[in-house]
Amino acid sequence: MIFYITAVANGLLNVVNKMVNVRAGQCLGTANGALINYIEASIIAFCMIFVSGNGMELDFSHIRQVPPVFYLGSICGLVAMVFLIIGTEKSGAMLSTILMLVGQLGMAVALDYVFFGSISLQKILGIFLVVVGIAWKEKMRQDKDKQKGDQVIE
Amino acid sequence: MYLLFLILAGILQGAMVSLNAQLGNYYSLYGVCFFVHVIAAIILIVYLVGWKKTKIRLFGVPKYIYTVGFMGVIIVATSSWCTLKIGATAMTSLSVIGQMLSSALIDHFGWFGAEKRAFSCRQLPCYALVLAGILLVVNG
Repeated sequence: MIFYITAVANGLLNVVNKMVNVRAGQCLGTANGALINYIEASIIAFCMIFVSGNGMELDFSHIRQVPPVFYLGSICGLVAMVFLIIGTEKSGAMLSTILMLVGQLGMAVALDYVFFGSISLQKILGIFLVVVGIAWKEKMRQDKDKQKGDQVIE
Repeated sequence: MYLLFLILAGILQGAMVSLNAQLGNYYSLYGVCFFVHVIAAIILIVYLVGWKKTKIRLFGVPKYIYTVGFMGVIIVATSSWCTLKIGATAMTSLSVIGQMLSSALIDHFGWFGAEKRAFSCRQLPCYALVLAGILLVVNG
């Protein structure tokens, strides 16, 4: 149960983090704004490694034991950010939210199959419902914004 | 073409969550956070200094902006921890619920300078649909 609650809390914090990151980008530019996040988090995590008594995991021999592909997560995140900016500029917020979610959940299903060997029709149906729910909510929001715009014009 | 960029962005984000979780098999949660952020920081510094030839600026912003680093550590650590235990699909789906809730709160109260958009009960069926989908994913 604790994992499910933590996962929801992770989503809650994710949006707050995004809003603060956007504000940082407005003040310093997107790249410098993102850099604050990365540098600060690197320093905090570096200190916490030693505070929690795991300093030996920064040993070069240990770092080399890890398959290099597992270090590519942050590069994926950076490229995703660039693609998201390019795609959202041309397609609008609603389509970008839905397509991102389709890609993200599709990849999660594929990787769960690769790493855990699990895939089920029920999960795929669940993902479909999540995407429909988000699409519906975004559509309502867009309609409301349009109505507001029309009222202002009148 | 732009639609493909967005699907690719989603695929890459999904890959990021799973790859970070795999790092958790070799490092503590803080170790995962360190490598995830330090690699991204190095790439950005090379981009800013080497390619764009601009100065790095980290100061002169409102104080609350400096909480992003703490939030970044918590987000990466918890997502890696949960993905290892419940899988990437369940983690991502549950995170979507959290994102919907906080987005609704931010919109309703107009926090962080966002335009105020009052929550309407007409949105409840959408949330119910997402919740039903997530229950299917978690129990699937």
